[in-house]
Amino acid sequence: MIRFENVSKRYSKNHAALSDFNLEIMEGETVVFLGKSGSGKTTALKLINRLITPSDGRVLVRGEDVCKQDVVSLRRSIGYAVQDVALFPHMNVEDNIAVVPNLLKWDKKKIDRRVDELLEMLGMCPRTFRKRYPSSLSGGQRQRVGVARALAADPPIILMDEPFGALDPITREQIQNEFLELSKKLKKTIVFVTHDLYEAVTIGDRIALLDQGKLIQISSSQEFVENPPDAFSDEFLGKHRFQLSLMTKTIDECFDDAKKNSLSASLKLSPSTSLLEALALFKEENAKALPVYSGSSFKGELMKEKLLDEIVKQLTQSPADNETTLI
Amino acid sequence: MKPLLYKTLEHIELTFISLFIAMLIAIPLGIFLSRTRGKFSQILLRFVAMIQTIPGLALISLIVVMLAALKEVFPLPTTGMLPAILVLTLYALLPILSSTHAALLQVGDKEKEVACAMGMTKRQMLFYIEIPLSLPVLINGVRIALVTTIGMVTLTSLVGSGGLGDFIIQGLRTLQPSLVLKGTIPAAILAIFFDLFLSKVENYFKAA
Repeated sequence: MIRFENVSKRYSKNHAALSDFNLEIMEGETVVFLGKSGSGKTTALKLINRLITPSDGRVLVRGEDVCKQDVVSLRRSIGYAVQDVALFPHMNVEDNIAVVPNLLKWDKKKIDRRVDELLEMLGMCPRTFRKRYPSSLSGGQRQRVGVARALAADPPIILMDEPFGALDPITREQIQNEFLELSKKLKKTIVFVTHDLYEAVTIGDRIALLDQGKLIQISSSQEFVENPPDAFSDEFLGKHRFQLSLMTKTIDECFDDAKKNSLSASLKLSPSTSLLEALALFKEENAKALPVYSGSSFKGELMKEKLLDEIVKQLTQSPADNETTLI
Repeated sequence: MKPLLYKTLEHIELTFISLFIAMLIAIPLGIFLSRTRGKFSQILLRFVAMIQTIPGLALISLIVVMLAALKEVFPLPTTGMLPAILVLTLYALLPILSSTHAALLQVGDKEKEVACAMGMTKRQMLFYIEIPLSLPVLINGVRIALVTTIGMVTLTSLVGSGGLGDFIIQGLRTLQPSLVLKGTIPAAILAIFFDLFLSKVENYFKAA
């Protein structure tokens, strides 16, 4: 869907914002560009919709060099959401969401329907919010409208540059979860830029770690946490490793197979439940064991002891970092 | 002498014709200048600001003298509406030009980048994003120009443009305070009224 071929971007002779960047992003996957500020992650993102043109190499979208495509129609087929949202302050919610459909000259009724649909999808009542101006919305609501605007014309590709960066932690987690659900449902190709490890691990199918304009590694979220291949990744993960591994490691390997559900617990686990989620559910249910279902079929049961064993195992596998073990 | 209402309407007419011409020149020019970063826009803005430093009376005299000198080549009237409108337009240029220029420059880069990323053309960006976001500041400039123009029209009566200045000049010549006030008070009321009106308009765009 998107391919970077030996892409470099230099702003001056000595300084390369991005150098020799190679990456292929598949249709329907979410790839996170993770890195500190100045790592080139935003540059890489903006190369996709040609807000930045490469100094060397090519960026291909749908198999065609972006520099050879009509830039206006390229951009209209790619959703874009940024930090601080940058909703247009002189337009109400409805007009903000409808910017791209309007540019594409959709008819009025279709736009109306689409706006309602998007607002509902993001849990905002259309009747209450359609006519409101951005200045009268909370940060979280604005962020949702920002996401709705990026999705408006149903673009196959969505670029997001730290879209949840400006939110308070609680709202952010809530919106991240909503967005995760949404992205699973929509099956879009999403490129997501962040410096937040937890966000990267939660949202990404794959994580591309960047530093000083170079791609350090590309791997699935779980691989990323388990085997950071070189010193830099290790340092970057640092003391978060233990907590991150609890978030990415699933209970798939530690539950016992069983034929019948003999437990009376009301909560269910699934093989893809993370250790951390499972721990939280055990706390809630206060049970010794919980049933594991895959969809509606019963798979087995997870003993609390086994879960704790697994967590301890993760802890001991974490790097010899005292701070980690103390948390 | 014509009645008060007639002179007031004449005053308003002069103000609006000049203001309209000034907007027609200054707004597109301001938009153009906001796109050319560099020396040229700085020099032009300075030049227009210089016009503002010429005393009103001097500028009126200069224009009339120049028109008279050019009479052979361009047979234009040297008194009445024409020289008055020339002076008033020149005076109204600066506030409108500099506010248009400043208004467009203050539109956030973030908004512009997002608009660009959504696939707006330069033209669409100007009309859908930049101009609407510039309106409060731009209207503020027009308001300043309007109020100063209303004041200036009382001066252009000197060259026979008509307007409320006629009463003031007549009052001065005959030493009748009541006549001076008959010109001054309506001119002041006009200025206050239009100022309030435009600040309401400005606030409307600010709120949106």
